[in-house]
Amino acid sequence: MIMTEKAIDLAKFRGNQSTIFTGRPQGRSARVDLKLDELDKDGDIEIHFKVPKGTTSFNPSFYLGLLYTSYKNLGIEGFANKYKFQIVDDDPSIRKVLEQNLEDGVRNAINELNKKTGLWPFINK
Amino acid sequence: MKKPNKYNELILHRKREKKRRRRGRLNKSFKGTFSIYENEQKIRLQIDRKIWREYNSPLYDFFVKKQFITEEEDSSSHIVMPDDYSFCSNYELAIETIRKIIAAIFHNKGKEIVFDFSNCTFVDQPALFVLQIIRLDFQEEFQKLDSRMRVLSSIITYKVVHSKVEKVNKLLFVTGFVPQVDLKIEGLMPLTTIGYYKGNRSQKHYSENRKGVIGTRIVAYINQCLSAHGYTFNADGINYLDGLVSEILNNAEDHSAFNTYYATANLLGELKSNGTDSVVGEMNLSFMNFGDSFFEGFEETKLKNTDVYNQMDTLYKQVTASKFRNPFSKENLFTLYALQEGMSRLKFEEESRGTGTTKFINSFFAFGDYEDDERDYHPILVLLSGATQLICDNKYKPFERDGVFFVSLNSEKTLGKPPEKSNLKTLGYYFPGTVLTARIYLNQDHLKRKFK
Repeated sequence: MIMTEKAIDLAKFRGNQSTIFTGRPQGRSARVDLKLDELDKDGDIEIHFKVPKGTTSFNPSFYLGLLYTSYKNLGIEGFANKYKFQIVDDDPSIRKVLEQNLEDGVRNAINELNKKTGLWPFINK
Repeated sequence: MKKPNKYNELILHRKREKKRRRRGRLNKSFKGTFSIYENEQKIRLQIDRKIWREYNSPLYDFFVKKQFITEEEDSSSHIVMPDDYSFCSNYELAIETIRKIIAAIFHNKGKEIVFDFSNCTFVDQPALFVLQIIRLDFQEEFQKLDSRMRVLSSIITYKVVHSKVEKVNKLLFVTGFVPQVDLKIEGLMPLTTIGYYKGNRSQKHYSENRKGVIGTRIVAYINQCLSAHGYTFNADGINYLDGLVSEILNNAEDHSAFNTYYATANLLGELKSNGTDSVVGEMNLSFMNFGDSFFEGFEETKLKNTDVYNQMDTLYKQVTASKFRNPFSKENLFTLYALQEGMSRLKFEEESRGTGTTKFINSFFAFGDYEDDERDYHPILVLLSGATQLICDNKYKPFERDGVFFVSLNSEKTLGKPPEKSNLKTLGYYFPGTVLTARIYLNQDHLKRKFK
């Protein structure tokens, strides 16, 4: 099946004069604006999020506010097939830290889906 | 000579008479205007007094409601600061002083209050930060009150009496209590301060939220300060600092009762190196919100947040079941558990919550690990919430287990055992909110080695 690619520039969701994507409520409000619930249902579209130039951080709080519902809707594999990130900045050091940030977001989402967080490892059975 | 025309004279006389009468009438009305003005002033004063009498300070009422202060508190306007005004070494007395100050501010509206540091030999930044926020917040409330009044003013003027100890004056300058101070150039010197930022948690939309902006400004400010010393953070360093600042702001925003939270940052630095190493800068970041403590937050939602609450409660009972005397309260251990990845008082609303604290603790340790015993440079992250003080230092770093991060504050690296007593303490007084302070030492050589 041929997927249609749709690019979404995240610049406006970073906030004025901010270089950081942060905050769960802010991620959620971006999700509502982008109608990601509807996009999750559309199997023909592949989303490419553009992380704009000048970004210094992409925190898990924003990542999960924006995308955790999509993980739940699509599953880990379905999500990975549908949602991709493109870091616009060419600077290799910035690309590296932002990639690490996005990986941290993925790690958090997967840990939650797999119910790995919490205090259970330390509680005597 | 022409004879005077009697008719003209009569007309002139009548005109003059008319003018005189008009002047008289005007004078009379002027007299009336003044008396109306005086009456109006009296009425305005009466109205102002009524507004003043009936005025309720949300902040003062909050402190009373939380039983942080009583209405009978001493309200002298001359506050003698204690010998040791610090949260780290003399928390109880520092809180007693803050309580006195709150009463003094509330009962001395429109007057002068003196903060007398002349007997003070030691202060720390968290205690000064809290005092400054309380002072600024009340002043903001009084400005609002003043906007409703026409004659009276509730604004307080503050006078600060310097200490005899230079180190104290240095911190009074850094935290904005005194505008200038004479200092000998030795050790860590104040470089700059960013001032006090106030954020608003109602700004939930991405376009209006100030967290990112505040975080960006604090980071840019610190970088700018460092550039004056010949170096700046690279992308890695900025990223860690972003994570530390913005996630603490997220946390403060979540727990604030007043819709507001506060942040400040300052930098001190050596002006010359000790010869073996490059100069060291001391960065202080402080954040605060009034409202629920971590523990109160979990208690409040326990009926809905059953899974998380039960985990905490079970582990708390397990850890404190030992036959030996247990030094930790339920609040202490719940505060520690609240910092673990995936733990949130609002987990029942959104299961992906609980990542922020891990992010800021990991960020703190990522670049807060420069230490120098000789010069007494020890980085520290102190969380003060309710009646609990939690200290993160380089002794007990976070650890990873099966892809999840934990911080146990013990050498065994397990939450199944009690934390170290030095790092988790019960405080003698309850604090109505949360204060988080991070002190980090920056050394160019160390940062270069770390973030190649």
